[in-house]
Amino acid sequence: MIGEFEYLILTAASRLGDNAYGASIRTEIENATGRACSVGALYTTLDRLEAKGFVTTRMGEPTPERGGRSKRLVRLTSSGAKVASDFFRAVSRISQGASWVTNRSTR
Amino acid sequence: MISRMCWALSLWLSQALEASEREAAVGDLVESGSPGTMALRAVLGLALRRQAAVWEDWRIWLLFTTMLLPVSFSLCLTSQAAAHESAVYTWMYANNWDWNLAKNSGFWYVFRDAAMRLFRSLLTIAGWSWSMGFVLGILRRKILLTSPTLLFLLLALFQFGNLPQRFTLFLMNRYAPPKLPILPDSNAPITAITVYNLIFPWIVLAIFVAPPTILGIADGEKGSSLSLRSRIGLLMGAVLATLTILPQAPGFGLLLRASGREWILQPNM
Repeated sequence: MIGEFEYLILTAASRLGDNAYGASIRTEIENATGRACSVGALYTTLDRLEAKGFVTTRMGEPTPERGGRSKRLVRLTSSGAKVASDFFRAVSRISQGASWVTNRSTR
Repeated sequence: MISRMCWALSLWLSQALEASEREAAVGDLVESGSPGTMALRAVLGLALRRQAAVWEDWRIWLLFTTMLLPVSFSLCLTSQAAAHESAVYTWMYANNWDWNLAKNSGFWYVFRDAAMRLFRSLLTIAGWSWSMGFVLGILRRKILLTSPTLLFLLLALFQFGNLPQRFTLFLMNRYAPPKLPILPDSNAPITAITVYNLIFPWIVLAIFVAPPTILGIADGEKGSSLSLRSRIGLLMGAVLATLTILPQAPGFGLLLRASGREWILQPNM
């Protein structure tokens, strides 16, 4: 089972496809959650996901808008897609009947 | 202005990161147009996380317990002993100088002997510091930032807390016969002077410990490109050379050898 932040990264990487790298993943996560995503948390979690075989990363070409620096491109692996899908299903199942899902009063 | 300074600081701090990670993380911050303060916080956060992660590796704990902690303590201890010795001679010659002494051949005999003894002990301290640095340098890149920082922090901590002196006193109390009277410090007039008591040990650390350690780290880093067999050989040699500091008399040697205890008690026997 993966954690919430790991799920967010895997999902963002899946949505972004070939354009998945540090800055774009951060933007996706910040737009989705409304919270700041630190570079430190992102890169240490990416390392963990790569060690588990859920993503692969490689350095891209340097670009001028990055001051001539390269991107660390992220690609979701099939096992990464599977654990993210498992996480989503588990969250969906456990959320059924919850007040914030059915719009019932919490009283 | 502040933002530019923070950016400059971030770029300097990013040297602590591995090259590819520095490239990716700083590039992300540039691309997203992060202000300097945010970039600084981000780079600092990432560097701290990376260094904290190093402590999950059992090898850094092995290095810490078997090398960094005992060697830094012993380095501080021997530096204090050398500083004390040099303070005594400095006081003796500087505060009691008389030009007539220079005409006395006996004076030059004692002076030469004292200078040689001091030179030998300071050179040995520099040698130990260099070999300690070499060990840290030759070990893998990831622990490089943590271990030298830790070494210098430990040295400063031991020096600030005056732990070597406390340790020697503890040993004297532990091993001295119960009714042995406390010996008066024959160098009390010198150790009472702040410059000799507090500044000299720092000078020894700053000149004979810190630069050789930094030089050793740089040399060790160069050695990390050698073959595995050569690296292991060099590492073992440096470790053994460094560990020879431990059985020295003004230090852990007192615990190991009866002669050390005799050395402590000698003036009163």
